[in-house]
Amino acid sequence: MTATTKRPTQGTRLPNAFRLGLSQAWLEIKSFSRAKDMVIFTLGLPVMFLLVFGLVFAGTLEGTDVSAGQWFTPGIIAASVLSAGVVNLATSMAIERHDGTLRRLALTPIPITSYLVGKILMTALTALAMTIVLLAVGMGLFDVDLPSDADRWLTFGWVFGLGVMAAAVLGIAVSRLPRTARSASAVFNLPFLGLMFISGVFIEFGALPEWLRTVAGAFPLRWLAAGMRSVFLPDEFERLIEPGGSYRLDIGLIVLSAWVIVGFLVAVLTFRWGRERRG
Amino acid sequence: MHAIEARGVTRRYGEVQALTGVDLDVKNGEVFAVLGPNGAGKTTLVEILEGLRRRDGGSASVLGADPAWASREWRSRIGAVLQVNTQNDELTVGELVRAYARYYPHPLDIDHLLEALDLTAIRDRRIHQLSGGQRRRLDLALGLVGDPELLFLDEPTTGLDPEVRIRIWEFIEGLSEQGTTVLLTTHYMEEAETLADRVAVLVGGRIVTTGAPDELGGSSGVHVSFRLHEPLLTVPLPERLPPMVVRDKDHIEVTTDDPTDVVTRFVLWADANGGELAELQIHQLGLEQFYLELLDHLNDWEEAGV
Repeated sequence: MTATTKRPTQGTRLPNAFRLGLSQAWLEIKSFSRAKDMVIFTLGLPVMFLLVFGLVFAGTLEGTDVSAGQWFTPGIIAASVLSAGVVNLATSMAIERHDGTLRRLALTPIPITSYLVGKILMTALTALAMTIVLLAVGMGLFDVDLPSDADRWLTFGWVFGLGVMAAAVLGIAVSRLPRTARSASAVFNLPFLGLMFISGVFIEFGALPEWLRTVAGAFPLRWLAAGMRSVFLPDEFERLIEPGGSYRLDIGLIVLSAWVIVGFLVAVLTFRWGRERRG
Repeated sequence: MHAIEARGVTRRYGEVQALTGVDLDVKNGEVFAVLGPNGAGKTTLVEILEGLRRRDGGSASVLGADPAWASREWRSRIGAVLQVNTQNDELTVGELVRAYARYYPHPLDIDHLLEALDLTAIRDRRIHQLSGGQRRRLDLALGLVGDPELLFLDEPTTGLDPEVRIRIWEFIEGLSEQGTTVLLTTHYMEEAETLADRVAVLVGGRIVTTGAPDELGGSSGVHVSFRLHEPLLTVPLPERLPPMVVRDKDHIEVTTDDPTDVVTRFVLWADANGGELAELQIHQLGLEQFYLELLDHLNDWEEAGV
Protein backbone atom coordinates (compact mmCIF):
# COMPACT_ATOMS: atom_id res chain seq x y z
CA MET A 1 0.00 0.00 0.00
CA THR A 2 1.60 3.24 -1.09
CA ALA A 3 0.23 6.74 -1.19
CA THR A 4 -1.03 8.10 -4.47
CA THR A 5 1.02 10.54 -6.43
CA LYS A 6 0.01 14.12 -5.85
CA ARG A 7 -1.21 16.03 -8.80
CA PRO A 8 -0.54 19.72 -9.15
CA THR A 9 -3.22 21.74 -7.44
CA GLN A 10 -5.50 23.42 -9.93
CA GLY A 11 -7.74 26.37 -9.21
CA THR A 12 -10.02 26.08 -6.23
CA ARG A 13 -13.33 26.36 -8.04
CA LEU A 14 -15.85 24.71 -5.78
CA PRO A 15 -18.54 22.52 -7.37
CA ASN A 16 -21.93 24.07 -8.14
CA ALA A 17 -24.33 23.64 -5.19
CA PHE A 18 -27.42 22.78 -7.21
CA ARG A 19 -25.68 20.20 -9.39
CA LEU A 20 -24.28 18.62 -6.24
CA GLY A 21 -27.87 18.53 -4.96
CA LEU A 22 -28.90 16.53 -8.01
CA SER A 23 -26.14 14.00 -7.50
CA GLN A 24 -27.08 13.79 -3.80
CA ALA A 25 -30.65 12.96 -4.86
CA TRP A 26 -29.31 10.26 -7.16
CA LEU A 27 -27.37 8.73 -4.24
CA GLU A 28 -30.52 8.82 -2.10
CA ILE A 29 -32.50 7.05 -4.80
CA LYS A 30 -29.83 4.39 -5.24
CA SER A 31 -29.61 3.76 -1.48
CA PHE A 32 -33.37 3.64 -1.09
CA SER A 33 -34.05 1.38 -4.05
CA ARG A 34 -31.49 -1.15 -2.82
CA ALA A 35 -33.07 -1.52 0.61
CA LYS A 36 -35.84 -3.76 -0.73
CA ASP A 37 -37.69 -4.09 2.55
CA MET A 38 -37.82 -0.30 2.85
CA VAL A 39 -39.23 0.03 -0.65
CA ILE A 40 -41.89 -2.61 -0.06
CA PHE A 41 -42.88 -1.16 3.31
CA THR A 42 -42.95 2.46 2.13
CA LEU A 43 -45.07 1.76 -0.94
CA GLY A 44 -47.01 -1.09 0.66
CA LEU A 45 -48.33 0.71 3.74
CA PRO A 46 -50.63 3.18 1.94
CA VAL A 47 -51.75 0.45 -0.47
CA MET A 48 -52.64 -1.74 2.49
CA PHE A 49 -54.69 1.08 4.02
CA LEU A 50 -56.50 1.56 0.74
CA LEU A 51 -57.20 -2.15 0.28
CA VAL A 52 -58.39 -2.69 3.85
CA PHE A 53 -60.66 0.35 4.02
CA GLY A 54 -61.82 0.07 0.41
CA LEU A 55 -62.78 -3.59 0.73
CA VAL A 56 -64.27 -3.44 4.24
CA PHE A 57 -66.70 -0.61 3.50
CA ALA A 58 -68.93 -1.70 0.67
CA GLY A 59 -71.50 0.46 -1.09
CA THR A 60 -71.52 4.14 -2.04
CA LEU A 61 -71.46 7.39 -0.09
CA GLU A 62 -75.00 8.54 0.69
CA GLY A 63 -76.62 10.42 -2.19
CA THR A 64 -73.71 9.85 -4.59
CA ASP A 65 -72.42 6.98 -6.72
CA VAL A 66 -68.92 7.34 -5.19
CA SER A 67 -67.72 3.97 -3.82
CA ALA A 68 -65.82 3.72 -0.53
CA GLY A 69 -62.60 2.75 -2.29
CA GLN A 70 -62.98 5.62 -4.71
CA TRP A 71 -63.49 8.03 -1.81
CA PHE A 72 -60.50 6.68 0.19
CA THR A 73 -58.05 6.91 -2.73
CA PRO A 74 -57.50 10.72 -2.86
CA GLY A 75 -57.32 11.00 0.95
CA ILE A 76 -54.71 8.29 1.21
CA ILE A 77 -52.77 9.90 -1.65
CA ALA A 78 -52.78 13.15 0.33
CA ALA A 79 -51.61 11.38 3.49
CA SER A 80 -48.86 9.60 1.54
CA VAL A 81 -47.56 12.86 0.09
CA LEU A 82 -47.31 14.33 3.58
CA SER A 83 -45.78 11.17 5.06
CA ALA A 84 -43.01 11.19 2.45
CA GLY A 85 -41.72 14.27 4.28
CA VAL A 86 -42.85 14.23 7.89
CA VAL A 87 -42.29 10.48 8.33
CA ASN A 88 -39.86 9.13 5.70
CA LEU A 89 -37.58 12.13 5.20
CA ALA A 90 -37.68 13.09 8.88
CA THR A 91 -36.78 9.55 9.96
CA SER A 92 -33.93 9.22 7.48
CA MET A 93 -32.46 12.57 8.54
CA ALA A 94 -32.85 11.74 12.24
CA ILE A 95 -30.96 8.49 11.66
CA GLU A 96 -28.21 10.23 9.69
CA ARG A 97 -27.90 12.76 12.48
CA HIS A 98 -27.36 10.03 15.06
CA ASP A 99 -25.27 7.50 13.13
CA GLY A 100 -22.46 9.89 12.21
CA THR A 101 -23.30 10.39 8.52
CA LEU A 102 -24.13 14.06 8.98
CA ARG A 103 -21.04 14.78 11.08
CA ARG A 104 -18.86 13.16 8.45
CA LEU A 105 -20.47 15.27 5.72
CA ALA A 106 -19.95 18.36 7.86
CA LEU A 107 -16.20 17.89 7.40
CA THR A 108 -16.48 18.03 3.62
CA PRO A 109 -17.09 21.20 1.60
CA ILE A 110 -20.63 20.10 0.64
CA PRO A 111 -23.00 23.08 1.02
CA ILE A 112 -26.11 22.67 3.18
CA THR A 113 -28.17 23.59 0.11
CA SER A 114 -26.91 20.56 -1.83
CA TYR A 115 -27.66 18.18 1.01
CA LEU A 116 -31.17 19.60 1.46
CA VAL A 117 -31.91 19.73 -2.27
CA GLY A 118 -31.04 16.03 -2.42
CA LYS A 119 -33.45 15.30 0.44
CA ILE A 120 -36.26 17.41 -1.04
CA LEU A 121 -35.97 15.77 -4.47
CA MET A 122 -35.99 12.36 -2.82
CA THR A 123 -39.16 13.34 -0.93
CA ALA A 124 -40.83 14.43 -4.17
CA LEU A 125 -39.91 11.17 -5.80
CA THR A 126 -41.16 9.06 -2.89
CA ALA A 127 -44.44 10.98 -2.91
CA LEU A 128 -44.78 10.55 -6.66
CA ALA A 129 -44.09 6.80 -6.48
CA MET A 130 -46.69 6.34 -3.73
CA THR A 131 -49.23 8.38 -5.69
CA ILE A 132 -48.74 6.32 -8.84
CA VAL A 133 -49.06 3.01 -7.00
CA LEU A 134 -52.19 4.17 -5.17
CA LEU A 135 -53.77 5.43 -8.39
CA ALA A 136 -53.00 2.13 -10.09
CA VAL A 137 -54.72 0.21 -7.29
CA GLY A 138 -57.61 2.71 -7.16
CA MET A 139 -58.15 2.51 -10.91
CA GLY A 140 -57.86 -1.28 -10.94
CA LEU A 141 -60.17 -2.02 -8.03
CA PHE A 142 -62.23 1.01 -7.06
CA ASP A 143 -63.45 2.82 -10.19
CA VAL A 144 -61.06 5.70 -9.74
CA ASP A 145 -60.69 7.66 -13.00
CA LEU A 146 -57.85 9.92 -14.01
CA PRO A 147 -59.16 13.44 -14.61
CA SER A 148 -59.76 14.23 -18.26
CA ASP A 149 -59.74 18.04 -18.11
CA ALA A 150 -56.80 20.41 -17.81
CA ASP A 151 -58.35 22.29 -14.84
CA ARG A 152 -58.19 19.24 -12.62
CA TRP A 153 -54.65 18.41 -13.67
CA LEU A 154 -53.71 21.98 -12.86
CA THR A 155 -55.25 21.61 -9.40
CA PHE A 156 -53.42 18.30 -8.98
CA GLY A 157 -50.19 20.06 -9.95
CA TRP A 158 -50.33 22.80 -7.36
CA VAL A 159 -51.80 20.65 -4.59
CA PHE A 160 -49.15 17.97 -5.11
CA GLY A 161 -46.35 20.52 -5.53
CA LEU A 162 -47.22 22.56 -2.45
CA GLY A 163 -47.92 19.35 -0.54
CA VAL A 164 -44.48 17.94 -1.31
CA MET A 165 -42.77 21.22 -0.45
CA ALA A 166 -44.63 21.51 2.84
CA ALA A 167 -43.92 17.86 3.64
CA ALA A 168 -40.21 18.19 2.88
CA VAL A 169 -39.52 21.40 4.78
CA LEU A 170 -41.60 20.20 7.75
CA GLY A 171 -39.74 16.89 7.68
CA ILE A 172 -36.41 18.73 7.80
CA ALA A 173 -37.68 21.06 10.52
CA VAL A 174 -38.81 18.24 12.84
CA SER A 175 -35.90 15.88 12.08
CA ARG A 176 -34.00 17.21 15.10
CA LEU A 177 -36.70 16.26 17.59
CA PRO A 178 -35.97 12.55 18.28
CA ARG A 179 -33.33 12.05 20.93
CA THR A 180 -32.13 8.75 19.44
CA ALA A 181 -32.21 7.13 16.02
CA ARG A 182 -34.27 4.29 17.43
CA SER A 183 -37.07 6.55 18.66
CA ALA A 184 -37.33 8.47 15.38
CA SER A 185 -39.98 6.32 13.73
CA ALA A 186 -42.24 6.41 16.82
CA VAL A 187 -41.79 10.16 17.29
CA PHE A 188 -42.88 10.94 13.73
CA ASN A 189 -45.60 8.32 13.26
CA LEU A 190 -47.77 9.12 16.27
CA PRO A 191 -48.67 12.74 15.40
CA PHE A 192 -49.00 11.78 11.76
CA LEU A 193 -51.50 9.00 12.53
CA GLY A 194 -53.51 11.39 14.68
CA LEU A 195 -53.54 13.94 11.89
CA MET A 196 -54.82 11.32 9.42
CA PHE A 197 -57.86 10.62 11.58
CA ILE A 198 -58.88 14.26 11.99
CA SER A 199 -58.15 15.41 8.43
CA GLY A 200 -60.80 13.52 6.49
CA VAL A 201 -58.53 10.71 5.27
CA PHE A 202 -60.34 7.78 6.90
CA ILE A 203 -63.36 9.54 8.39
CA GLU A 204 -65.60 11.72 6.26
CA PHE A 205 -64.52 15.27 7.12
CA GLY A 206 -68.08 16.58 7.42
CA ALA A 207 -68.85 13.91 10.02
CA LEU A 208 -66.31 15.31 12.48
CA PRO A 209 -67.37 17.77 15.22
CA GLU A 210 -66.88 21.35 14.19
CA TRP A 211 -64.14 22.13 16.74
CA LEU A 212 -62.09 19.18 15.49
CA ARG A 213 -62.55 20.40 11.91
CA THR A 214 -61.23 23.78 13.01
CA VAL A 215 -58.18 22.15 14.62
CA ALA A 216 -57.53 20.04 11.53
CA GLY A 217 -57.91 23.16 9.36
CA ALA A 218 -54.74 24.58 10.88
CA PHE A 219 -52.69 21.66 9.48
CA PRO A 220 -51.79 20.90 5.89
CA LEU A 221 -53.29 17.41 5.58
CA ARG A 222 -56.94 18.50 5.71
CA TRP A 223 -56.36 20.81 2.72
CA LEU A 224 -54.21 18.36 0.81
CA ALA A 225 -56.96 15.75 1.16
CA ALA A 226 -59.66 18.17 0.01
CA GLY A 227 -57.50 19.18 -2.93
CA MET A 228 -56.98 15.57 -3.98
CA ARG A 229 -60.72 14.81 -3.64
CA SER A 230 -61.47 17.78 -5.90
CA VAL A 231 -59.22 16.21 -8.52
CA PHE A 232 -60.35 12.58 -8.35
CA LEU A 233 -64.06 12.63 -7.29
CA PRO A 234 -67.04 13.56 -9.45
CA ASP A 235 -68.34 17.15 -9.36
CA GLU A 236 -71.53 16.48 -7.39
CA PHE A 237 -69.45 15.17 -4.46
CA GLU A 238 -68.34 18.66 -3.48
CA ARG A 239 -71.88 20.02 -3.25
CA LEU A 240 -73.38 16.98 -1.50
CA ILE A 241 -70.71 15.83 0.98
CA GLU A 242 -68.12 18.52 1.74
CA PRO A 243 -68.85 20.77 4.74
CA GLY A 244 -70.52 23.95 3.44
CA GLY A 245 -70.77 22.35 0.01
CA SER A 246 -67.26 23.45 -0.97
CA TYR A 247 -63.66 22.18 -0.86
CA ARG A 248 -62.56 25.76 -0.06
CA LEU A 249 -59.37 25.36 -2.10
CA ASP A 250 -58.73 29.11 -1.78
CA ILE A 251 -58.18 28.65 1.95
CA GLY A 252 -56.23 25.48 1.23
CA LEU A 253 -53.85 27.41 -1.01
CA ILE A 254 -53.20 29.95 1.75
CA VAL A 255 -52.74 27.38 4.53
CA LEU A 256 -50.42 25.15 2.47
CA SER A 257 -48.34 28.14 1.33
CA ALA A 258 -48.05 29.35 4.91
CA TRP A 259 -46.78 25.92 6.01
CA VAL A 260 -44.24 25.90 3.18
CA ILE A 261 -42.90 29.33 4.17
CA VAL A 262 -42.85 28.72 7.92
CA GLY A 263 -41.42 25.22 7.47
CA PHE A 264 -38.73 26.54 5.13
CA LEU A 265 -37.67 29.23 7.58
CA VAL A 266 -37.59 26.84 10.53
CA ALA A 267 -35.74 24.21 8.48
CA VAL A 268 -33.07 26.60 7.24
CA LEU A 269 -32.63 28.51 10.49
CA THR A 270 -32.39 25.45 12.72
CA PHE A 271 -30.40 23.10 10.47
CA ARG A 272 -27.15 21.95 12.08
CA TRP A 273 -24.69 19.42 10.70
CA GLY A 274 -23.63 18.26 14.10
CA ARG A 275 -24.54 19.73 17.41
CA GLU A 276 -21.86 22.35 17.11
CA ARG A 277 -20.66 23.13 13.61
CA ARG A 278 -21.60 26.64 12.57
CA GLY A 279 -22.72 27.44 9.03
CA MET B 1 3.23 29.96 9.53
CA HIS B 2 2.30 26.67 11.15
CA ALA B 3 -0.42 24.40 9.82
CA ILE B 4 -2.03 24.43 13.26
CA GLU B 5 -1.58 26.97 16.04
CA ALA B 6 -3.66 26.64 19.18
CA ARG B 7 -3.33 28.77 22.30
CA GLY B 8 -5.06 28.16 25.58
CA VAL B 9 -7.92 26.14 24.09
CA THR B 10 -10.48 25.21 26.74
CA ARG B 11 -13.67 23.21 26.65
CA ARG B 12 -16.09 22.19 29.36
CA TYR B 13 -18.97 19.70 29.18
CA GLY B 14 -21.22 20.58 32.10
CA GLU B 15 -19.15 19.86 35.20
CA VAL B 16 -16.33 18.15 33.31
CA GLN B 17 -13.42 20.28 32.15
CA ALA B 18 -12.43 18.37 29.00
CA LEU B 19 -9.62 20.70 27.93
CA THR B 20 -7.78 23.07 30.26
CA GLY B 21 -5.77 25.47 28.15
CA VAL B 22 -4.16 23.45 25.37
CA ASP B 23 -1.28 24.97 23.36
CA LEU B 24 -0.30 23.21 20.15
CA ASP B 25 1.90 24.00 17.15
CA VAL B 26 1.93 21.66 14.20
CA LYS B 27 4.42 22.52 11.48
CA ASN B 28 3.69 22.24 7.80
CA GLY B 29 4.49 18.77 6.50
CA GLU B 30 5.01 17.04 9.82
CA VAL B 31 3.18 14.09 11.34
CA PHE B 32 2.09 15.16 14.79
CA ALA B 33 0.62 12.70 17.27
CA VAL B 34 -1.55 13.54 20.26
CA LEU B 35 -1.03 10.64 22.62
CA GLY B 36 -3.20 10.06 25.63
CA PRO B 37 -5.37 7.60 27.49
CA ASN B 38 -9.10 7.27 26.78
CA GLY B 39 -11.02 10.25 28.09
CA ALA B 40 -7.98 12.55 27.99
CA GLY B 41 -9.70 14.97 25.61
CA LYS B 42 -8.04 13.92 22.34
CA THR B 43 -11.22 13.74 20.30
CA THR B 44 -12.53 17.02 21.74
CA LEU B 45 -9.28 18.72 20.76
CA VAL B 46 -9.28 17.31 17.23
CA GLU B 47 -12.94 18.13 16.69
CA ILE B 48 -12.36 21.72 17.78
CA LEU B 49 -9.53 21.98 15.26
CA GLU B 50 -11.73 20.42 12.55
CA GLY B 51 -14.49 22.95 13.22
CA LEU B 52 -16.93 20.28 14.41
CA ARG B 53 -16.99 21.51 18.00
CA ARG B 54 -17.02 24.87 19.73
CA ARG B 55 -14.26 25.88 22.11
CA ASP B 56 -15.04 27.83 25.28
CA GLY B 57 -11.83 29.82 25.28
CA GLY B 58 -8.46 30.32 23.68
CA SER B 59 -7.59 30.77 20.05
CA ALA B 60 -7.04 28.37 17.17
CA SER B 61 -5.72 28.83 13.67
CA VAL B 62 -5.79 25.94 11.22
CA LEU B 63 -4.37 26.53 7.73
CA GLY B 64 -4.54 30.22 8.55
CA ALA B 65 -8.23 30.35 9.50
CA ASP B 66 -10.28 29.97 12.66
CA PRO B 67 -11.91 26.52 12.34
CA ALA B 68 -15.00 27.70 14.23
CA TRP B 69 -15.86 29.96 11.29
CA ALA B 70 -14.62 27.79 8.46
CA SER B 71 -15.61 28.34 4.83
CA ARG B 72 -16.29 25.79 2.11
CA GLU B 73 -12.94 26.69 0.60
CA TRP B 74 -11.20 25.90 3.92
CA ARG B 75 -13.03 22.57 4.23
CA SER B 76 -11.83 21.60 0.77
CA ARG B 77 -8.25 21.82 2.06
CA ILE B 78 -8.63 19.45 5.02
CA GLY B 79 -9.34 15.74 5.17
CA ALA B 80 -10.53 13.75 8.14
CA VAL B 81 -11.10 10.30 9.51
CA LEU B 82 -13.40 10.37 12.51
CA GLN B 83 -13.86 7.59 15.03
CA VAL B 84 -17.47 7.15 13.96
CA ASN B 85 -17.86 7.53 10.25
CA THR B 86 -20.51 7.64 7.58
CA GLN B 87 -22.99 4.78 7.23
CA ASN B 88 -24.52 4.86 3.71
CA ASP B 89 -24.80 1.10 4.00
CA GLU B 90 -26.44 0.39 0.67
CA LEU B 91 -23.90 2.20 -1.49
CA THR B 92 -20.78 0.52 -2.83
CA VAL B 93 -17.22 1.52 -1.96
CA GLY B 94 -16.66 3.01 -5.42
CA GLU B 95 -19.94 4.93 -5.39
CA LEU B 96 -19.30 6.55 -2.03
CA VAL B 97 -15.73 7.56 -2.87
CA ARG B 98 -16.96 9.03 -6.16
CA ALA B 99 -19.75 10.90 -4.33
CA TYR B 100 -17.22 12.42 -1.92
CA ALA B 101 -14.90 13.31 -4.80
CA ARG B 102 -17.67 15.51 -6.21
CA TYR B 103 -17.62 17.74 -3.13
CA TYR B 104 -14.04 18.89 -3.79
CA PRO B 105 -12.59 21.28 -6.34
CA HIS B 106 -9.61 19.09 -7.32
CA PRO B 107 -10.13 15.51 -6.19
CA LEU B 108 -7.57 12.74 -6.58
CA ASP B 109 -7.93 10.17 -9.33
CA ILE B 110 -10.32 7.62 -7.84
CA ASP B 111 -8.86 4.54 -9.53
CA HIS B 112 -5.40 5.37 -8.22
CA LEU B 113 -6.68 6.10 -4.75
CA LEU B 114 -8.63 2.83 -4.51
CA GLU B 115 -5.60 0.96 -5.83
CA ALA B 116 -3.29 2.60 -3.30
CA LEU B 117 -5.57 1.58 -0.44
CA ASP B 118 -6.12 -1.99 -1.70
CA LEU B 119 -9.79 -1.24 -2.32
CA THR B 120 -9.93 -2.00 -6.05
CA ALA B 121 -10.99 -5.61 -5.56
CA ILE B 122 -13.90 -4.58 -3.34
CA ARG B 123 -14.98 -1.38 -5.08
CA ASP B 124 -18.36 -2.88 -6.02
CA ARG B 125 -19.04 -4.25 -2.57
CA ARG B 126 -21.80 -2.68 -0.45
CA ILE B 127 -20.56 -0.84 2.62
CA HIS B 128 -22.51 -2.96 5.10
CA GLN B 129 -20.58 -6.01 3.84
CA LEU B 130 -17.12 -4.62 4.69
CA SER B 131 -14.84 -5.92 7.43
CA GLY B 132 -13.42 -3.55 10.04
CA GLY B 133 -10.11 -3.15 8.21
CA GLN B 134 -11.78 -2.58 4.83
CA ARG B 135 -14.08 -0.06 6.45
CA ARG B 136 -11.14 1.84 7.90
CA ARG B 137 -9.37 1.92 4.52
CA LEU B 138 -12.58 3.27 2.97
CA ASP B 139 -12.67 5.97 5.68
CA LEU B 140 -9.10 6.86 4.72
CA ALA B 141 -10.07 7.04 1.05
CA LEU B 142 -12.94 9.40 1.92
CA GLY B 143 -10.60 11.55 4.00
CA LEU B 144 -8.04 11.73 1.20
CA VAL B 145 -10.12 11.98 -1.95
CA GLY B 146 -10.16 15.78 -1.80
CA ASP B 147 -6.35 15.84 -1.88
CA PRO B 148 -6.05 17.62 1.50
CA GLU B 149 -3.12 19.70 2.71
CA LEU B 150 -3.91 18.69 6.27
CA LEU B 151 -5.28 15.32 7.35
CA PHE B 152 -6.88 14.62 10.74
CA LEU B 153 -6.82 11.01 11.88
CA ASP B 154 -8.72 10.28 15.09
CA GLU B 155 -7.46 6.91 16.34
CA PRO B 156 -6.95 5.56 12.81
CA THR B 157 -6.09 1.99 13.79
CA THR B 158 -8.02 1.39 17.01
CA GLY B 159 -9.53 -2.07 17.03
CA LEU B 160 -7.73 -3.30 13.92
CA ASP B 161 -5.59 -6.41 13.73
CA PRO B 162 -1.79 -5.90 13.64
CA GLU B 163 -1.37 -6.68 9.95
CA VAL B 164 -3.93 -4.09 8.84
CA ARG B 165 -2.48 -1.60 11.30
CA ILE B 166 0.99 -1.90 9.82
CA ARG B 167 -0.33 -1.46 6.28
CA ILE B 168 -2.18 1.69 7.30
CA TRP B 169 0.99 2.97 8.97
CA GLU B 170 2.93 2.43 5.76
CA PHE B 171 0.29 4.33 3.86
CA ILE B 172 0.39 7.27 6.27
CA GLU B 173 4.18 7.35 6.04
CA GLY B 174 3.83 7.56 2.27
CA LEU B 175 1.47 10.52 2.58
CA SER B 176 3.84 12.29 4.87
CA GLU B 177 6.72 11.83 2.42
CA GLN B 178 4.61 13.65 -0.14
CA GLY B 179 4.22 16.61 2.17
CA THR B 180 0.76 16.12 3.67
CA THR B 181 0.55 17.45 7.22
CA VAL B 182 -1.02 14.88 9.54
CA LEU B 183 -2.49 15.34 13.00
CA LEU B 184 -3.31 12.00 14.53
CA THR B 185 -4.60 10.94 17.91
CA THR B 186 -3.83 7.59 19.37
CA HIS B 187 -3.58 5.72 22.63
CA TYR B 188 -0.99 3.35 21.17
CA MET B 189 2.53 4.49 22.05
CA GLU B 190 3.88 2.31 19.28
CA GLU B 191 1.76 4.17 16.74
CA ALA B 192 3.03 7.55 17.88
CA GLU B 193 6.62 6.28 17.96
CA THR B 194 6.38 4.81 14.45
CA LEU B 195 4.59 7.60 12.65
CA ALA B 196 5.12 10.87 14.42
CA ASP B 197 7.80 13.49 13.97
CA ARG B 198 6.60 15.01 17.22
CA VAL B 199 4.32 13.83 20.00
CA ALA B 200 2.24 15.71 22.55
CA VAL B 201 1.05 13.77 25.57
CA LEU B 202 -2.46 14.82 26.56
CA VAL B 203 -3.66 13.76 30.00
CA GLY B 204 -6.71 15.03 31.84
CA GLY B 205 -7.30 17.81 29.33
CA ARG B 206 -3.81 19.32 29.38
CA ILE B 207 -0.67 18.72 27.39
CA VAL B 208 1.95 17.53 29.83
CA THR B 209 4.88 17.29 27.45
CA THR B 210 5.74 17.70 23.76
CA GLY B 211 8.73 16.54 21.76
CA ALA B 212 10.17 14.10 19.26
CA PRO B 213 9.46 10.49 20.24
CA ASP B 214 13.13 9.71 20.96
CA GLU B 215 13.61 12.94 22.93
CA LEU B 216 10.65 12.16 25.14
CA GLY B 217 11.97 8.69 25.75
CA GLY B 218 15.61 9.77 25.97
CA SER B 219 16.65 13.01 27.60
CA SER B 220 14.07 13.13 30.34
CA GLY B 221 13.81 9.42 30.82
CA VAL B 222 16.49 7.33 32.42
CA HIS B 223 15.31 4.63 34.69
CA VAL B 224 17.28 3.67 37.78
CA SER B 225 16.23 0.73 39.94
CA PHE B 226 17.75 -1.29 42.77
CA ARG B 227 16.91 -3.29 45.91
CA LEU B 228 17.63 -2.45 49.52
CA HIS B 229 18.68 -4.87 52.24
CA GLU B 230 19.06 -4.39 56.00
CA PRO B 231 20.09 -2.08 57.54
CA LEU B 232 18.91 0.32 54.78
CA LEU B 233 15.23 -0.77 54.92
CA THR B 234 14.49 1.23 58.05
CA VAL B 235 16.55 4.32 57.25
CA PRO B 236 14.79 7.38 55.74
CA LEU B 237 15.62 7.95 52.04
CA PRO B 238 17.96 10.80 51.04
CA GLU B 239 16.43 14.26 50.74
CA ARG B 240 15.84 16.36 47.60
CA LEU B 241 15.17 13.39 45.28
CA PRO B 242 13.49 13.89 41.86
CA PRO B 243 9.69 13.62 42.06
CA MET B 244 9.49 10.29 40.26
CA VAL B 245 10.57 7.93 42.98
CA VAL B 246 8.50 4.81 43.55
CA ARG B 247 9.14 2.58 46.54
CA ASP B 248 7.66 -0.89 46.83
CA LYS B 249 9.00 -2.33 50.09
CA ASP B 250 12.65 -3.09 49.29
CA HIS B 251 12.42 -2.12 45.61
CA ILE B 252 13.18 1.46 44.53
CA GLU B 253 12.58 2.93 41.09
CA VAL B 254 13.62 6.43 40.03
CA THR B 255 12.97 8.13 36.70
CA THR B 256 15.30 11.04 36.08
CA ASP B 257 17.12 13.18 33.51
CA ASP B 258 20.26 13.05 35.62
CA PRO B 259 21.04 9.44 36.53
CA THR B 260 24.59 10.25 37.65
CA ASP B 261 23.33 12.55 40.38
CA VAL B 262 20.69 10.10 41.57
CA VAL B 263 23.00 7.12 41.65
CA THR B 264 25.75 9.11 43.39
CA ARG B 265 23.41 10.29 46.09
CA PHE B 266 21.99 6.82 46.73
CA VAL B 267 25.44 5.27 46.80
CA LEU B 268 26.71 7.89 49.30
CA TRP B 269 23.55 7.42 51.37
CA ALA B 270 23.93 3.63 51.41
CA ASP B 271 27.60 3.94 52.33
CA ALA B 272 26.92 6.36 55.17
CA ASN B 273 24.36 3.96 56.61
CA GLY B 274 26.54 0.88 56.33
CA GLY B 275 24.74 -0.93 53.47
CA GLU B 276 24.78 -1.20 49.70
CA LEU B 277 22.47 -1.07 46.66
CA ALA B 278 21.64 -4.53 45.27
CA GLU B 279 20.69 -5.33 41.65
CA LEU B 280 21.41 -1.76 40.49
CA GLN B 281 20.09 -1.21 36.94
CA ILE B 282 20.21 1.89 34.77
CA HIS B 283 18.53 2.06 31.38
CA GLN B 284 17.14 4.51 28.84
CA LEU B 285 13.38 4.54 28.60
CA GLY B 286 11.54 4.09 25.30
CA LEU B 287 8.60 6.36 24.67
CA GLU B 288 6.25 3.65 25.82
CA GLN B 289 7.82 3.28 29.24
CA PHE B 290 8.18 7.01 29.55
CA TYR B 291 4.50 7.43 28.80
CA LEU B 292 3.38 4.76 31.23
CA GLU B 293 5.56 6.22 33.99
CA LEU B 294 4.18 9.62 33.27
CA LEU B 295 0.60 8.40 33.56
CA ASP B 296 1.44 6.62 36.81
CA HIS B 297 2.93 9.70 38.33
CA LEU B 298 0.14 11.95 37.19
CA ASN B 299 -2.28 9.57 38.87
CA ASP B 300 -0.24 9.69 42.05
CA TRP B 301 -0.24 13.48 42.01
CA GLU B 302 -3.95 13.60 41.43
CA GLU B 303 -4.61 11.21 44.30
CA ALA B 304 -2.39 13.36 46.49
CA GLY B 305 -4.47 16.35 45.47
CA VAL B 306 -1.62 18.24 43.78
